[in-house]
Amino acid sequence: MRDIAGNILLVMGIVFISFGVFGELRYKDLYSRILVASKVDTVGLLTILSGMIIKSGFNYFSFKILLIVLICIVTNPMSTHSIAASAFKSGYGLKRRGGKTIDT
Amino acid sequence: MFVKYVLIFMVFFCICMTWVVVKGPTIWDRLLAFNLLSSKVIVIIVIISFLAQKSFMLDVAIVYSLLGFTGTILFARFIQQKNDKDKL
Repeated sequence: MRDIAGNILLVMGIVFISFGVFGELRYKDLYSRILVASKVDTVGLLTILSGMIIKSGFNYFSFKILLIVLICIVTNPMSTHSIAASAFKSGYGLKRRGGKTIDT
Repeated sequence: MFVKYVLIFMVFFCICMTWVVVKGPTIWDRLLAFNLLSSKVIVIIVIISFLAQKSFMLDVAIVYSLLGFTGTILFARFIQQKNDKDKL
């Protein structure tokens, strides 16, 4: 029963991460890439690690995976925000619908 | 065993992310793709240590996540100060 629940979480994580990779390959603008790929990919990583926790049970191994989950919850959005702020402050233009760029 | 197929999918996604790192037009695209690739490498390390049932391999994943975080933020700040000529 625990094995089946872990496998379901692993399949959900693979689907989320494949959405993130597809968005990264599909879009051409930087900000839409950041919006799609980062959020979906963070959710997929947390789902796969939760599936590994459920499959491994209640022991020393799963506590270490829980530590990795906590680190990734804190650090992954912060690094993505740092990339977006760096691109915006350096003058990477926002694209309008007509193709012109807005000066920042 | 089902976990091996997750490993195969993760290696395929890592190849796609490496293609984006090579191709990306600006440097921020490469930085974002490298960040996502490092998160996939963390998943690969956790799955390999689950298959081998060795608990000490997870320390490698912890150190890799922390070093990837500091490296990404350092690179982002460095590039920003290089191009920002009005505010310096």
